[in-house]
Amino acid sequence: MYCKKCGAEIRRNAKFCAKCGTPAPVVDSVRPDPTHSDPVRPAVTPPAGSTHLFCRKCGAEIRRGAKFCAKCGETAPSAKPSVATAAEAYKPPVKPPEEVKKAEEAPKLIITLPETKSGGSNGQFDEWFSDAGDL
Amino acid sequence: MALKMTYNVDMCFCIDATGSMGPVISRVKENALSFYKDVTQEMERKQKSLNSMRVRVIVFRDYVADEEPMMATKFFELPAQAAQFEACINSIEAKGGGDEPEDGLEALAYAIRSDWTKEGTKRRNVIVVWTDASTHEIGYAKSQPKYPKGMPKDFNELTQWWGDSQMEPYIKNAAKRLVLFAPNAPYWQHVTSTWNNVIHYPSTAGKGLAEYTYKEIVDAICNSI
Repeated sequence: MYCKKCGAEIRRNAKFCAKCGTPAPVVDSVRPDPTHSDPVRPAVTPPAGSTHLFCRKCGAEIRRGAKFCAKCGETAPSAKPSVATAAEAYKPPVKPPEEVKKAEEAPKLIITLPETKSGGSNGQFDEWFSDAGDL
Repeated sequence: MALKMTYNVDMCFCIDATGSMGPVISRVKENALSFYKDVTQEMERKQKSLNSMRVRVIVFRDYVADEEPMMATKFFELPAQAAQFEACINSIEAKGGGDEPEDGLEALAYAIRSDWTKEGTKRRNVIVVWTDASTHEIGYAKSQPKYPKGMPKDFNELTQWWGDSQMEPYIKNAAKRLVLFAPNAPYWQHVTSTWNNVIHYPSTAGKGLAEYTYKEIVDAICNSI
């Protein structure tokens, strides 16, 4: 399975792209685990047969039995009300309006290609230049 | 009224495109579209005129360190292909380079072997080298897979390629000019002291030819014609 945003390969059962954080498409293999329930909150369980839980803070997979998320250090869901899917676990922080605006502007910096005067692209260079070759 | 001399000029730019050369490459990019006009105007001031002008570009780096150590274009006819020439210049990226010396002498060899025009009188075949680095001896990288066949085996053979008043194997003695923006460093010093028709504008190593303005560069080129 490949991320629709960045094209990186997403591991089976992964809920987020490990490269860019985009939620992965929901697949049939992800099913709630009826064996794992939270006495305090309604059961939001990990995929059946999966040994992994998902961090509610960063969305990273956490091995069952681990007490903390290896990625961000958040207490593992087993010690808190559990979650079933990374999509439910990971909630992007709510940004104030000016921060949201900045976040909206940021992708322009990411996707904008370099201006030709600052360096050009390999394709443009290849249009004009060729290997000098043998004499 | 003084008669103006009219010239048919071919230019070959050998540009060191390693990382430190960003400043001068940027300067050339800013002025690429007006280059023909600027040269023509400067020539007029010197009571000279252009009948024809062609320019080609060789971009050089380091055969050992770089993936694209030696890249070249065909000749662009100016002013008809001014837009293409500008696009070509704008595509150059200052990057790479391994050790401080680059492979400028190989670039010079390619430049000498350009397909110079043989038509018209008052021909000028001007090679302009822009580098802020010393150069490896020719053949330094001959064990590299990208190293081309047919290169001079040593500096003496390269000197023979350049020729003199007695022999001119690849470039006419009366037409050839070498404008050298390069440090006072080995092999560039050899070129300056032993080759004819060379004008050397010393550059500071590693500074991207920051000491020369675009106008000074155009003036230097026109002085050589």
